[in-house]
Amino acid sequence: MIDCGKSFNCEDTLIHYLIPDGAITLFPRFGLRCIDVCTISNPESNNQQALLLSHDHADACFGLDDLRYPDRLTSQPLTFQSSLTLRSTFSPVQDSIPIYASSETYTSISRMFPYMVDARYATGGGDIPSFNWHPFDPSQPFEISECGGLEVMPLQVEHGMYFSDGQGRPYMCMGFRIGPVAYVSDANRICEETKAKIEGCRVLILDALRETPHASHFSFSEVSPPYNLAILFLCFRNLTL
Amino acid sequence: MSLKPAPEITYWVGFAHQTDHYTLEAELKAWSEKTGIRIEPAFDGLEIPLLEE
Repeated sequence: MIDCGKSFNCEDTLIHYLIPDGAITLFPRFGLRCIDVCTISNPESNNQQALLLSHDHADACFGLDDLRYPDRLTSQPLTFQSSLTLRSTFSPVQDSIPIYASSETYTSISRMFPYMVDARYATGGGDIPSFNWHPFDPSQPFEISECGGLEVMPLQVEHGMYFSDGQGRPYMCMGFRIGPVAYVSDANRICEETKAKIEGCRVLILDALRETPHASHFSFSEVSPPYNLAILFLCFRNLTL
Repeated sequence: MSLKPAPEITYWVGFAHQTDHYTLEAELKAWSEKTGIRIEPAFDGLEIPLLEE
């Protein structure tokens, strides 16, 4: 799976009644089980699963804590026989979930949720998720060993700005290219270096928030022809004059 | 002038709540027919193979 945001499990929240689109609601509707969709799996990987994080915003990582719950993402009646990673009460789907995140995202989550990176920081009596963190260098491809060595190319894109330091430094979010598929879910600008890494993909999944401009997301006019040549690289930057 | 392969398809994701899926789908289809550039809104249940066939 790529990202695990705050609506990952909204079944038990008020949000569920307003926007019933949490993964825990939708996945069973399509006959998907958690082990199939929570993660990137490979037939040769013995069903080991992994999670990619694109950035540290709430809609990308505030569902991490829910990756310990029983495996309710199934079309079958809840049996409470299995869980994602809990060992004390249930039979876990796997001992821990490997998480791949940029060093910046890993550091940020370490500050926000210390117990998620080191169980010694847990302060309550409840269970905590079990993760195995793999910080990566955003400039280099990496392999997900748990998924049969699946190669992933990080795609650094701009997704808003830091204004706290007074310099307006871009906030960088990760997209990912896996084989013929490039995934950029949160972006308002893509640099030339990253465009080159996207080039040649067969399928592009691209952020497109709304018609009006936004500070940290592409608007429709920025990602559709013929309005913005800066984005048309996707199709026309390959013109060689 | 040569034209290298573009993505076969681009899926848009992350729409705000003001967006009507079917209206956007129709608009993008019209654009795609004019430009030859295939763009569609992603949808729940969409499956995209990650491995080359």
